[in-house]
Amino acid sequence: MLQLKQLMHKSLLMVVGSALLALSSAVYADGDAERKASFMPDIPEPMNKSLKCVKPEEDMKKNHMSYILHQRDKTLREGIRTPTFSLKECINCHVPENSTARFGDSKHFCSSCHNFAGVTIDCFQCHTDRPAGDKKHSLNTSSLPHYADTSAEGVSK
Amino acid sequence: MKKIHLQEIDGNSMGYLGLLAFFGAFVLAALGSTYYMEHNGHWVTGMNNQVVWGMPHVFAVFLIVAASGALNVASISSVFNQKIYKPLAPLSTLLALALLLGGLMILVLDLGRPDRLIVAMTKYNFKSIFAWNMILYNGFFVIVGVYAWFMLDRTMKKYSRYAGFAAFIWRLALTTGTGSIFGFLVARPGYDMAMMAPMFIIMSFSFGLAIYLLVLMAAYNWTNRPLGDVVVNRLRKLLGVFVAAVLYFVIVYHLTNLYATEHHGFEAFMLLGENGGSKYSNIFWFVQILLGSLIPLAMIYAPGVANCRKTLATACVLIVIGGLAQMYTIIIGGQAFPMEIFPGMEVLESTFADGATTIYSASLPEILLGLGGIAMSMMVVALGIKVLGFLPQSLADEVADPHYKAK
Amino acid sequence: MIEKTINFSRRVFVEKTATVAAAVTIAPGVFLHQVAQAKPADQAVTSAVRWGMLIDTNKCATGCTACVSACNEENGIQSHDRPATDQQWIRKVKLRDTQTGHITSLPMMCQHCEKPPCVDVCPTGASMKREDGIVLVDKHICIGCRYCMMACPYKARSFAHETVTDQKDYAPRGKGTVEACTLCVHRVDEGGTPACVEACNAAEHGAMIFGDLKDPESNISKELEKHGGTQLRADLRLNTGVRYQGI
Repeated sequence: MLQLKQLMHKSLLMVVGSALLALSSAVYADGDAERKASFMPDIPEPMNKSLKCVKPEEDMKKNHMSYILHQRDKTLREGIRTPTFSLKECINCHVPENSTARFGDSKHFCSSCHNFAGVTIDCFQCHTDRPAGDKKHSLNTSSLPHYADTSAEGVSK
Repeated sequence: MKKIHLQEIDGNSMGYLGLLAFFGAFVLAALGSTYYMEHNGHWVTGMNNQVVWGMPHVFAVFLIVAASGALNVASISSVFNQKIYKPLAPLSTLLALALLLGGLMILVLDLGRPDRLIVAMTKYNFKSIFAWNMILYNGFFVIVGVYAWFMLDRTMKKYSRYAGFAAFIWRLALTTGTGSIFGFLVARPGYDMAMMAPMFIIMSFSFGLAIYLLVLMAAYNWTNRPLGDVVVNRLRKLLGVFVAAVLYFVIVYHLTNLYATEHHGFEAFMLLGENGGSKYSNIFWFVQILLGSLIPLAMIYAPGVANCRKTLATACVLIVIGGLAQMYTIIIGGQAFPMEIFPGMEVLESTFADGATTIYSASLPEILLGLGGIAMSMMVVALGIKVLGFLPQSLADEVADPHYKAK
Repeated sequence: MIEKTINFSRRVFVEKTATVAAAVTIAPGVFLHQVAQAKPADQAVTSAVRWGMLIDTNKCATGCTACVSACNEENGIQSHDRPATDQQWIRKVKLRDTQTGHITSLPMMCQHCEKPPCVDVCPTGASMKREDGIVLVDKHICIGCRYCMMACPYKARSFAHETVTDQKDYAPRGKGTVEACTLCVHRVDEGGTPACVEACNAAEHGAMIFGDLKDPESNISKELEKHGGTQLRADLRLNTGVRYQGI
């Protein structure tokens, strides 16, 4: 499913990208950065701007779906719960804790871009689209919230 | 025996267009029902956590089984080399494909996640009989499609016998697989039986042929093409044998269950309506056995009505209704009977209906989805015979009967 | 490294590789002993452990639903007041022996079979068993066909009949897929115990023991060796991970 979606995603991005390129070179030949920007999605900033993403931005733009897909099977089937490419951690970092934006709103990190690119995802039919915060069960044995754990490999500060 | 000419129907009459519109309306209603069920979730249906497969599955499994049976006529012509069945074979393949399409449409549209059809087609757990069935269903389309092509294409005609053989074996495997979906369920006393597979095969013979006869008579009647008594009576007698054979299998199935003491509870439930099962036992006795088997048998074999098309058509309709009832008692009845999780214990309290009989009532959207599947099949047949020459111009006795002698 | 700690509300999280042995006294006469081996987060679970549960029905109190409430809260399961279609991962069942009249109360949930019929029948492989014996539904590839529900001898699974909202971040659930007890896999992977077991202990019944069936030194293994435990529908030879005493 996701593979097909990736394919669709890629081809859609290519189509959208080339269309944008053609448009911008034709209409904005003088390079008006501000007006160009209005063609890009308005992506909300991460909560803590001093933290860097687990991968360079360009890489994430292109490959986040395969990272998440890979991690998804590892977590579910093998119990590997490293935070680096965990969807949960994307949400913890990119969606403000008290945000009212839900997936589907243009103010939600994921949908801001997905709405723009017209790529449908079904992650949030099951996953929560908001950070966990400290809402863990009172009987939970682990007092350590996942997103405070930076010891695992690959997390750069 | 004269040469057989296969020819498309004209398909321009108001009657034909009206027929398409009629079936189209049901297909649209089915799509609307699907949207309603998927948008709200399955709680709006009669299905729940106890009866997880409901009316859509009754229709779907019926159509899938009937699809395999509809191919029977072609198999008799190619595998058993019966000349009289030769001109009947192309329609048999078209009907088989159409019925399978209708059945699968229902099955897919009832899934919790019909949008993930691609997952079902790409990820296989080969231990699952359900996964095997998906391969069998897809293969059926290919093999029967090729078989139809070989029959209709003069240059390929010489290979049609081999394709017919392949299709025959494949359809037996398909119905074995469909029956095994239930036969492999060890925990439920109504299902856990290897006999499910052969019973489904014999059910397919009966249901498929009944639908075939209905379609054949309707098509020839409405297009004013001649359809002789020799062909019809041959099929009628065959149908009688099949209906009797299904009845025999039903008797053996229940006797086998009655032999095992641990299954007595289920038999009392299904046959006597004990433990809150009166709905299911009523459907079993009055619809499946009386209306769907005994009365049609009488109508088929009664001497006074041997050449009466209306009687035969009525018998076929009753066999279809009886077949749906049989699917209902197998699929719904088997789930409604409480599973024995705690042997020797009586359940006093449970929030999950442990030890309790479930009374299932199908909701309107489920029924519409099921009827939409049938309508889809019929629409495909109607379009198929217009586009390609599936139907002989004439099946009058002097054309179709290899032993015809002018009186 | 062995560290003993007494803590009433929360066990201290020790380095992931450490073996934690926590002895918790929560009431006179009720003594809990928990040995948990928290695996490192980046390591896959192995078949060296098999998680299981032992339920002493004689200690399970009639009318008490602490385990059910804890499960619902932990996994974000909400009722829509439609009992026939609401999801239930764990349920309380009250039984009467038809021969002796003995009344038994017990919690019923996924039995985490060694040879789970739900895994056998699943067409896509969404129904799966982890190496450590926990049976799960991969909701990413579940198509919602419900064949596993037909196959399960324990009616352990529920279908998500309606839209699910306010999921927990560690327990994703959604409409149109099948779900069941996960043995609180998110806790187990961190060395914790399932919410129902903790709730049963907190309610001072101590009817549920969670642990590694392959470790002869685990509480559950010792108790099973000493007093035994039965499987529900043992005739099906599924070798369940959940065992019962007193039935």
